[in-house]
Amino acid sequence: MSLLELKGIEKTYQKDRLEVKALRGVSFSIDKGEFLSVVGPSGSGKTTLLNIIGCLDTATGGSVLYDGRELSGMDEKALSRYRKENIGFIFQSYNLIPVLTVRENVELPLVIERRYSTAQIRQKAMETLGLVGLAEMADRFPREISGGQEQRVAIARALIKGPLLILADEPTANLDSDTAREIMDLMERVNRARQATFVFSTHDPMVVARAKRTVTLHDGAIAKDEKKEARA
Amino acid sequence: MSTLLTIAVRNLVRHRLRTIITALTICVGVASFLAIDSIMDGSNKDAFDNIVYLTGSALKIHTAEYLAEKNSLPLKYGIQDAESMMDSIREKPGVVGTAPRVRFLGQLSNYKDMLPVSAVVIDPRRDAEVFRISEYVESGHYFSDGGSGEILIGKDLAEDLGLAPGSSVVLSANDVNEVMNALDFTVAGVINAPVSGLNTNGVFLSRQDGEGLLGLNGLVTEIDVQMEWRPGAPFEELAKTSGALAADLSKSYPSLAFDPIAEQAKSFLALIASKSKFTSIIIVIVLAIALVGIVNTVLMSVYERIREVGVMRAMGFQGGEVRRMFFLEGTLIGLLGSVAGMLLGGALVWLLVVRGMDMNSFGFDISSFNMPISPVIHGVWKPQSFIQILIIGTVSAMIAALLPARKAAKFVVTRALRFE
Repeated sequence: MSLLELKGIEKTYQKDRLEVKALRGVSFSIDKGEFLSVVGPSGSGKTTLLNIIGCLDTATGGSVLYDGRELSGMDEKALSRYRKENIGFIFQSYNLIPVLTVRENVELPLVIERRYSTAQIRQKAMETLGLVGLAEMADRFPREISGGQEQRVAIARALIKGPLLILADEPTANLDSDTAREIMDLMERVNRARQATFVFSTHDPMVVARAKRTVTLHDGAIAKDEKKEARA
Repeated sequence: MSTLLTIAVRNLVRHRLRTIITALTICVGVASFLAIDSIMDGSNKDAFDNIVYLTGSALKIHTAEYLAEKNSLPLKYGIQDAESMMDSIREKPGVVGTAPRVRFLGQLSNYKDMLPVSAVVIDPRRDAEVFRISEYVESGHYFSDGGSGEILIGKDLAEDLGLAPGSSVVLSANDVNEVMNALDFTVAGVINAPVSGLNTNGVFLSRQDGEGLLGLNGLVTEIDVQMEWRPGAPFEELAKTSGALAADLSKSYPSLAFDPIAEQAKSFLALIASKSKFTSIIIVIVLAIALVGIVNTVLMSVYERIREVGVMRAMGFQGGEVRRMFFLEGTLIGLLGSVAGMLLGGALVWLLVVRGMDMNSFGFDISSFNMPISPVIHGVWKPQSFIQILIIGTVSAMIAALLPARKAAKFVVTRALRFE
């Protein structure tokens, strides 16, 4: 069953007096539990596509169906609520809040949901940190851990509320190859264990090689959509 | 809210130097206001005390003719039946004393040199119920019983003529018939009053000697009335009771002129009004500087954390929550600066209350100002000013923080996430 369905997505920017078409009729669907990479040269529309999938931006044409629900036409507040409840983000530069500890960073998505008690939030944060192997670093600040560890914390932050969709924008771009491999191992593990859907934009061939499906964009349109055969 | 507060507090601590500098501007502003406000009120209190107990009284009574020619101190317009009038006024509620006085201009000689003086004939016993001259006798003594043959002179006058208690002097003046007369006196005491005029040319003699010198035939040109005035009570309270007494007495004595304290202090009250405007201008300037600092600091914080804001918005933080976070930062800086300013201001006010401020040490002669202000002005404690400035400082900081906080809330998430 499709988790996400994109139909004829168009995105046009106004840059000075020029009209820039970032996406030109992109259509594809993502099933639950997919591990999908979006690739393409710079300016091909990867980030724009991820922003629209992540409800950070709206399409100028076409429609986005998330779990069967139409997102086009939602206002900023509704989109924000939707993001909060359904989507986890992992960024290239980790983007942890520097004044919060590792645990507090991970807790943040649940804190803003206001659905759990402080003790429950803490317990979930520690469990998630355990999953990414950083439970013992819970009380450290981001400046006190390595880049790879920061990205693990960012993954834990994206996972804590158990979203169906996790979007990762160039998740390994700032990491050395060994650490990048570890991060991919971790994302694969979570993908398998939690049936969480991962969509990541990347330039990294190692990441592309590990993806089970690769969508290639060129000039704002899908140039290729390849699925790997499941290994026996 | 607690997470937003945590982030706000930790960001302030993280950029502690910037926080301290910004808070310091507010601190200096708040402390300056408290010190200026304290010394201004202290000088007002001092001046009012001097006006009420040294240069004036709660209510002065003259004949209408005297008041019309007041500047020339005419002796011929005496108040008829002053004694029975004073007895009657003493019975009025709120009146604590009445005293007769006659003011005149004369010359004081040490048998070698002569200086012009502003002299006052007083009834030593009753005068002490109204005025505080006796409290400022620095050397020698106040009038002994009746005070016949004795004279009190100002400190500067004594120095100029080389006089001390026990010195012999001659006081000459025109009597009621404009005939020059003179009498010998012994200096009983030297006055060092906080009002410079009394020290430079003030002379006091007893009523008995005034009769001999001026030929007054029992007439006085001025009756001074003193009224109850609680220590620390506002001047307006005395002005009100004094005005009411003047209105009451003017019905019984229509031929007399009543000069209530508000009238006597008129020019000083006008000065206070402009001083108060001056204080307000200082607050506005200092707070404006501090507020620009807050806008700048919070704005810097906003621009440094654009990506952070983007991440928070991506996670689902609403614009209002982002706005609150930066708003809290500005408010906390304002609160920190205001509290620190209150502490610093408290220390300054304490110094001003205990030690006072010698106005002459600033290089100008306070006596030349012709105001009823003492050379050393003491501050006063005004708890309401502390509360007032804490509220003003913090609320102003909140207002200043609004602008950058609103800016942060309006960032487009996708651009904020890409911001380098």
